[in-house]
Amino acid sequence: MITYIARRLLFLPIVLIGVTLLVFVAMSFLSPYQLVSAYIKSPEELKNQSLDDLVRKYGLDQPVHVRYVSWVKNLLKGDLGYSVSANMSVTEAVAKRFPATIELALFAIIPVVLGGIWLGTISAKHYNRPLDHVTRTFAIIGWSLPDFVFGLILLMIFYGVLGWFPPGRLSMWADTVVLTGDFVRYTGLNTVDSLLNGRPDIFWDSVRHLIAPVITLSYLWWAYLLRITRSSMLEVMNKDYVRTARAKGLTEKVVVNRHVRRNAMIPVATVSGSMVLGLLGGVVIVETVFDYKGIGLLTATGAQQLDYTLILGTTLFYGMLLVLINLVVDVLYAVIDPRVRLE
Amino acid sequence: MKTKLFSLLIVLLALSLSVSVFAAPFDPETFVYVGGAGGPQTLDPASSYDTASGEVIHQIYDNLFEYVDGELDNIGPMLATEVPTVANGLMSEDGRTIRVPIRQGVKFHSGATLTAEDVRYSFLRGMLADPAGGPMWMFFEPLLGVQTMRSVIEMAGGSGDFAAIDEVDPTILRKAYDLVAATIEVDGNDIVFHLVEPYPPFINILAKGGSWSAIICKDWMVANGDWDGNPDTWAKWYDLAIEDMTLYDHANGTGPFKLETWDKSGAQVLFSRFDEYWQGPASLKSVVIKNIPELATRQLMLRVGDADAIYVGQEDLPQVRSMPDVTVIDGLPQVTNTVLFYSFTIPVEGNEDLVGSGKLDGNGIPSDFFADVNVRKAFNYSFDYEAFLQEVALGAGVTPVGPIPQSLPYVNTEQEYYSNNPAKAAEYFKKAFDGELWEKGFEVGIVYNTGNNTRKTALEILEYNVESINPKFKVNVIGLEWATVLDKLRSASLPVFVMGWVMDFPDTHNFAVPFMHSTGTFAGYCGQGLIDLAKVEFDGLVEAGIKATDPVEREKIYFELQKRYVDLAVGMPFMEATTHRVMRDWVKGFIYSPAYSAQYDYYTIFKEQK
Amino acid sequence: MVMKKLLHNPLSMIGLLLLLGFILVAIFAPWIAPTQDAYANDPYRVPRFGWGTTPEPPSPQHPMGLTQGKYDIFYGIVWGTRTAFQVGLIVTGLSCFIGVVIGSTSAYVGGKFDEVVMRFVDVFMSFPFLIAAIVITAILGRGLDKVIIALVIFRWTGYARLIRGNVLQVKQDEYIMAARAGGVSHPKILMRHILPNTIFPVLIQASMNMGSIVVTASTLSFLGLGAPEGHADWGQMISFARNWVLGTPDNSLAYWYTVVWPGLAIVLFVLSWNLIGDAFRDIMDPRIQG
Repeated sequence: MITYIARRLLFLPIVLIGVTLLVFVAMSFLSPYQLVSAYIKSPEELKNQSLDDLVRKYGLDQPVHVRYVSWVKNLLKGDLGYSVSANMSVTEAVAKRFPATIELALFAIIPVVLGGIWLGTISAKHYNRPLDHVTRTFAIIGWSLPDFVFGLILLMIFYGVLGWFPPGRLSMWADTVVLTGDFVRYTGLNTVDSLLNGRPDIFWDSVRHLIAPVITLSYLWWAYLLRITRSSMLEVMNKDYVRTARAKGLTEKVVVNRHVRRNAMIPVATVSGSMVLGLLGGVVIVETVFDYKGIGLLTATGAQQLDYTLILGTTLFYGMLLVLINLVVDVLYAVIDPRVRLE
Repeated sequence: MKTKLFSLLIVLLALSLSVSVFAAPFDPETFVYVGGAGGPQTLDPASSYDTASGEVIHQIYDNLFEYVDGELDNIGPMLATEVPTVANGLMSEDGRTIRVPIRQGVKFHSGATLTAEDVRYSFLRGMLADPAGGPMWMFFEPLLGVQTMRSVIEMAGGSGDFAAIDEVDPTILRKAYDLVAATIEVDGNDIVFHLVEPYPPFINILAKGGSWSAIICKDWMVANGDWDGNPDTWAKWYDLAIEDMTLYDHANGTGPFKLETWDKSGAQVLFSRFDEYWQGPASLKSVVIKNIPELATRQLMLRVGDADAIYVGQEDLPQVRSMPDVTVIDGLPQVTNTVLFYSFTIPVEGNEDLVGSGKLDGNGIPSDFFADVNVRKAFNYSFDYEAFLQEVALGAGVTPVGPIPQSLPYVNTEQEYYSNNPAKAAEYFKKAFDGELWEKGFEVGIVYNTGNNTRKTALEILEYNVESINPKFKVNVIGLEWATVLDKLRSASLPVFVMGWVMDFPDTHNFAVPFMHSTGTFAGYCGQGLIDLAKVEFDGLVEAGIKATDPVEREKIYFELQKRYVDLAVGMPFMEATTHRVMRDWVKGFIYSPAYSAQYDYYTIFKEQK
Repeated sequence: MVMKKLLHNPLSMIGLLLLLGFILVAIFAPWIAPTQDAYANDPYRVPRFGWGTTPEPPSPQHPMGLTQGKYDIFYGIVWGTRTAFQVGLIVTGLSCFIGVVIGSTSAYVGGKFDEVVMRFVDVFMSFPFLIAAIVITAILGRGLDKVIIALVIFRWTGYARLIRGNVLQVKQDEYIMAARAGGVSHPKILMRHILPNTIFPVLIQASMNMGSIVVTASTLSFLGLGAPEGHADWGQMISFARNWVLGTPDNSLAYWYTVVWPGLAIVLFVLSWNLIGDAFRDIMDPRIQG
């Protein structure tokens, strides 16, 4: 097991070199004067400046391989460079924005895992009966509803009509409290920090801001998990040992809980990796629609402004995250299913 | 399971009940302004050159002079005690020596007291730092007759073409320092500027509204690791990356508000009142400037009272007009114009998506297409100025009479200008290229930067009108990303582009140079053809215009420039936009000045509920 | 046989009908929403009816109303159907082709070559798909062709892995061994014997991905990275609604039509593919999971 993990971790640098090289190759299509747009962000800012001076100052005219080498050198020193679009160093930007995304993802994942599995079990138990059709339809619609459409509709109803769930991470007043005075940021997660600081009002405020984005983000994965659970439950239910259990006269409840559900969880565990991956992509849209300042929004704005230090930095970060998540999933998989051996 | 669902419902219900927290209680001492996409890039006055940065700097720092009640023609002293004129003896007869007495007893946020040395340091430090892309040319031009520190190093005998400043010989650096330092002197409590030529708008450059002339505190700067005034060490702070400059996210000014924090990840800046402000403390205790790209969110914040004022684009103004308890102040004059430029020498190779075949064969345009004055005139006669103003800009502005906005002096408002006239357009199209153009037709791609709806619509109007003159004329409106537009501008590859110019300081000169001088901002994007033309037609007059101190003489020169620009149809100025503000009814004391890059000056603002 | 089962399942029946409807709309777009003369050279350009920005509610002339910028929603949706099919088919086709070629060759050749190729595939997969697409389109610039390139770059890997697994299984079969021993050339073995037996699951997988590809492409348009402004594209139609979701102060739903129509178009389109795909999955093999 340990050698396996070590081998997988050895693979990490290869992935990181690969993804950043990929970005650099793509970047080489850009002319220095396109890159200058990170500093002169709009036509209104085009004044009496010399574009050539800016190009020279930030070394934008250097060949791509030269820039890659110097970027790697700085990286080894722990310096990911400065992001013009975020107004701070890339490391700081990621460190400040990632907790927000974690908070969003946590609030999305936990109900998804519990609820999705529950609904999937129900659906499978009532195979081909009305309840099964209802949950399946719900799943298929969820699977077909793009999150930006769903997000806008939620925004329209819960913000425009009802005024319940505002966008952003906190209300103005709460934001001021968090930024000034002696509010301590322990984790960067507003819900956790507010409780640690003994501010239930801020806790509620951050929960209120989380509801709509969480629903948008997780709806699709409810549907996904439901479907996976359902089909793997169905498969397991037809296995011999389950039939045997039934034949022994065990009640349906015991059969499902003892024999079916546990074995059906194996494929569910495998998809959880791709679910986390999908959530990481999904947050881009959700954060954009709800102006929720997490790492997805950071990446999207950075990319749109061709802020190449930020693009590289976040690419590196995502690559690292992904390799680790996949590793964790594989290890978990081996733990759940004794038949799987890690080589 | 049912009980679980039930409890979930209860929680939802409780949450919705807690909505009463939603509308924040009215707070008369806090002001929240929510701007659109893009916050400040830097808070350093020496490098800030965009409006969002100017907005922040405006609240923290003071300048030597200010526009009394925001009026452009009424300059009064601020950190100075008097406005220098020839009459009061503070300005020399030839306009080249200007003496400014500095106000005594003014406190910085740090507690230090303002001195004449601080004032000198503010300008010297900015010029010696001269960050690329910054505004410091506004000092180099009047004081030394050049545009950048690189040119000063050339004046000192070195080469301006260095990659890093440590390549330059120290003795040359010292000489360059001496050249700069000699232009500003401290004399007791006064500052004396020595100009290379008379420069009538120099006082305007020093007035509030220009972030570049904010006064900073020398001792505090030195304590924070910036240049200490040593003539031999300044190069260490020359042209630093934006984030490495001392004032990038720190501030210590004499202004009415202190910088509390610049929360970059939350895209907001928090200010608090400076109680020892020399003109007396402001009414607001704290101010928040926040940036939210989504218009819908900004609107709702205004509706519920979370925001006291928000940014709304001109085209979206109808959405907020009907909101209850919201005031829209519109028709505020600005010193700006929007112009459609023509490139006189368009590269063909690699530019086929815009110029097609690159020949006069009906499937493209030749490189010198717009070098023919008849083509330019025909285009100018093809635009529907009135429809644009009324339907697209919703009446917020006026149609120009030349490249210089009519709100500035020395503009001939009687100048005959273009209007939508298909007959005349056809007449000029027939004349162009000796009639060949009319016979063969052309196809051209005209470009706007994506996201700018107003410009896109302007080009579509032009497209529609030109195409209806002759079925052989094809115009394609193409949207390109700003990055690509910038790249194509650099090589003068855009046959037609739309660009606006917002003034730096309210003087005709600030428009004459970018629009007409051969070294001006836009000439470089319009191809060699225009540069050659400008050298003959404009350069001499533009240079004479700024040196002239006699208003009658200046008027004569600028009238002539305007006439030539219009006759030659060098470009197509089509809009002088007005601006507007959107705020809650309870916001009082708002003063507008076209000279401010800031949307609001929070010093005068207070909140009062009906 | 499969078709028969599909037709018997009510859900997949709905899916097939919906899909048929979209195909008809795409084919007959010029008759359903005729192009005006002024736009004749580019029928994908959505006509504007006025120069202002404020949306206008449905009326007899504009059955679905005008969205921000006075673009005709009905026209945009009808022609957007063609855009959706174009993007979906081209991306699926190209990435499937690339994936099959690389994946099967890699598996067939095996050894070090296979190892290298698979690490290469891993690199491409070490990137959340949507974020990768955003970065690449931002760099390449706006335009549907750029979107297609970006999507293909990060889509082929899935198919490559799938076919590789299948080929590895078939490779050892007796008849392949026999063909090899008989001196049949490698490309021929691959083309004639291996691919026909392994490509079917890939094709099913590909058809089921049509919906999600169209969603991703619309998402890019929604973020302002996809289709050029004014091009008939559902994602862009929805992005036009962003400024108007709050309605007017007296009617929060005043601009419902700017979201609902294009939203409905996307949802139904994706739904049709998913309904068919879901039924397919149940019919073919309950173990194949997306």
